[in-house]
Amino acid sequence: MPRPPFLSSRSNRIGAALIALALTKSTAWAESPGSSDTVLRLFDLEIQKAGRDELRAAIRKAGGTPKPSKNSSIDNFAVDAIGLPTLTALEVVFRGNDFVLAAYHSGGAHASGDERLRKMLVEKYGMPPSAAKNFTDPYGGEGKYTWSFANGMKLVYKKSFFGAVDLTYVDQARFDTVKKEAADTDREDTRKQARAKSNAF
Amino acid sequence: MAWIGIAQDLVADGLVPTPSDAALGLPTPSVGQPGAANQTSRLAAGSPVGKMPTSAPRGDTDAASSQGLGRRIALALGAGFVVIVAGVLSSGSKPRSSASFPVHEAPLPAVNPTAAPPLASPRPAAPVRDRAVVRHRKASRPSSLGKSAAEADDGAAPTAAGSSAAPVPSEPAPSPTPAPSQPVPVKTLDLQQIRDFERNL
Repeated sequence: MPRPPFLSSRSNRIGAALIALALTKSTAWAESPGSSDTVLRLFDLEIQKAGRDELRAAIRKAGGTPKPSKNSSIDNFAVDAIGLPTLTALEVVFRGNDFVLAAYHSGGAHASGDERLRKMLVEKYGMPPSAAKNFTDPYGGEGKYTWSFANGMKLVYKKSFFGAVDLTYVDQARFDTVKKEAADTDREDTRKQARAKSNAF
Repeated sequence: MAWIGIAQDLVADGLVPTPSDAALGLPTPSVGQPGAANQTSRLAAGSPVGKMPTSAPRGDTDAASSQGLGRRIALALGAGFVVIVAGVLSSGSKPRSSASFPVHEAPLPAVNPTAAPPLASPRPAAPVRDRAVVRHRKASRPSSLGKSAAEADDGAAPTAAGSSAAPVPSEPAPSPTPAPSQPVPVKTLDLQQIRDFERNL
């Protein structure tokens, strides 16, 4: 097989090999790990199948306090009393009565206790497939780490550069549906607004 | 010493006033000035001390008065200088009392811990204001419409026949506890909220 002209020199060949290696590594990092048969549960419920009222009751029973929500599709809870390290708020998104996602949030940037939270996650779910070995280090964990579960459920731990921590349980298929609906609605609203204000801009 | 001899010659020639001349306020004689030559002789002749000779030439009188004015000015300036120096010294040596602080050391005004800060009072929520406006409008509605203000304030919905103006709808206050039986709209998440959640996935 003839060699391409740009690979004729040795330095070019080394460079191409390094680029190929980097692409392989980054693709493997971004790719979600293989599907698991484990069912993702939260508050002793299989959250993918839990109804809205059922999940609300379970969160209250665990110590969550309901908070006002501006959007009827989102339930907000203060979860300090639940006792998870660094996590103080919980948002649960529904589409009708169906669970879409539940997202824990830390109190703010430079949240303390996220090291303990990472160790607890590893204790329960194992090391995230995309994580390096320093995931449980005291100042590690920056970035996004995903565990995959049965039926397209995912658990995502994210730590921002400034230290804020989010832990999200999501039904990816339903989330994509909601996203598409929101995009369609936004497009339609934009069209109506442009028509109504066409003489003002 | 040579300069003592020169000074004695100048005094002898009448070119430099003697201490007694200066004390009398006599002018400094100079070469060519009238009376310069007989200065010593007039003193020796018994002119009263501190009194100008009546037969003194006009040039001597002007010079004497101008020198007296100069002495008075010098005395005033000296006295003023002494007063200023004394004032400065007395103010610098005066011990600082506990009540007098420089500007940069002025004590801070006392803070009453029980008083509420001026900006801490929350603004009234919009729905409450709206309800107050509605109540005011209902109260000021003429009673000829067939409904008293008290009845209108009971919260009964006005009938189409009884009122010509539609009431201003007031936004319901968000309930801290999500009502379990409320109807849930399907599409209420907007695109920005979806993006906020997607950032953590």
